[in-house]
Amino acid sequence: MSFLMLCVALAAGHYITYGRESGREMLQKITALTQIPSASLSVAWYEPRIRLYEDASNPAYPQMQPIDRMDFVYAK
Amino acid sequence: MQNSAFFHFLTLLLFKQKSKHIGAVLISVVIIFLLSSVLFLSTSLRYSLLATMDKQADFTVTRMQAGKAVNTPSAWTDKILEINGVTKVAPRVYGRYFFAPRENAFLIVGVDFFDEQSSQALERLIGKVDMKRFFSEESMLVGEGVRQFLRAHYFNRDFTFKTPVGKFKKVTIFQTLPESANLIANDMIVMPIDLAREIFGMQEDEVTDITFNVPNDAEWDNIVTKLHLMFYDVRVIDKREIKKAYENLYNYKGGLFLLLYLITIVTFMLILYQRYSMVYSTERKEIGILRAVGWSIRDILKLKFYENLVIVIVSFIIGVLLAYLYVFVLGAPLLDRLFLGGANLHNHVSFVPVVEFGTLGSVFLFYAIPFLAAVLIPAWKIAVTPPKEAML
Repeated sequence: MSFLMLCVALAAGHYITYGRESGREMLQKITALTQIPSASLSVAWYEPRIRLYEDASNPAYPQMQPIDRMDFVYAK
Repeated sequence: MQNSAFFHFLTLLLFKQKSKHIGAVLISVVIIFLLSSVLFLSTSLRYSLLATMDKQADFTVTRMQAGKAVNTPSAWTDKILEINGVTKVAPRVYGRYFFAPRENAFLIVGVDFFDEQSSQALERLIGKVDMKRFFSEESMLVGEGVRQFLRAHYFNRDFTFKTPVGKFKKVTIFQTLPESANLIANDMIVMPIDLAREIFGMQEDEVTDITFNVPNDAEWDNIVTKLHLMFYDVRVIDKREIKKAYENLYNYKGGLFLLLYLITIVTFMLILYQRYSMVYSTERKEIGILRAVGWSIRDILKLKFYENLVIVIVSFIIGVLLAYLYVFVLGAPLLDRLFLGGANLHNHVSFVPVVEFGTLGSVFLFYAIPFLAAVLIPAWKIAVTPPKEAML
């Protein structure tokens, strides 16, 4: 039980002391430079890399939506 | 019944029957771990992506042709600037460059480094830049993923792009973008806007799209109407739509994960219910004995409630802790591919620890209530039968 409490304390320490702002600032800086806030999703070349600006369509099967596209798995 | 004696008995019971509970604890830990990992990942990604929205332009204008986005005339920039209330109009040139031999694609972004805002943004991103050296030859900044990919293919110093007119363009790798920007810049190549145009085979008077800001929110809808009156082949996307798209992209509510969780939790509860309801189970005997020595139904339910509450709390804490360690310390190996994809360049992202305690509380309730119900209902059924029958 004491080991569990120690683990909880360590996780809480990590959570509190994590430099959240630096990561956030870095993402804001790259967005400010490129004006592209889209996540760098590792998608196939025919899938949209930048959401809303590109449409997904496989030229070989234009009517068939790729099964592994992100909005198939997650809500759009 | 004395409370201290009751809790002493409860503790003894828990420690004596460790092996009986270990299976339930292990399965619970796995279920909680998986669900918490998915929640931690989705929350962290949503937090990071929404943070970038502050720096994103309010509107994006693209020219449409036959339902597809095509290159936008750069002359539109001046026309948009003439609209009252519009500020920071900026053309964007970007697109994907397909590296055919390995079927990988990079995102090339053209930036006008002579623009004061862009040069300041660059300086803030990578510190003081020797622009003289940058412009002395055709140079580019590459994301960590691109850098690794190029290095693996022996492009250590530069990379040769093939333009649509069949020319080759050798571009020097000036610097790698910071690793902490991987979530956005992993597959990104930032280069001067004219060079990007040349690689994409775009005309000098063409851009990919145009962005602008409208500081007064109340004017947003009005501006959209004005744009549609000004251009007939235009698509206007505002920041609210993009924000919504990102909020939903990793929203666990719409995902398969919640469904999988529900299926798993129902199965597990059925197993638990079955275990307690079995005619010859040790649980029946145990409850029968307690009833025979004078315990009331209320005491038995109280004992079972506390016994299983301890199991639920311990499993929940272990599951959540393991998920925290897995996602925020180890970087969620394997699971990150489900969220960030794995079809192009591998993206290694350090996830920012973000824990939504409300969501965790809901997970606890959705887990604890069925768990306790699956145990207490059969326990109550046994407790109300005469001890003799229960022990048969």
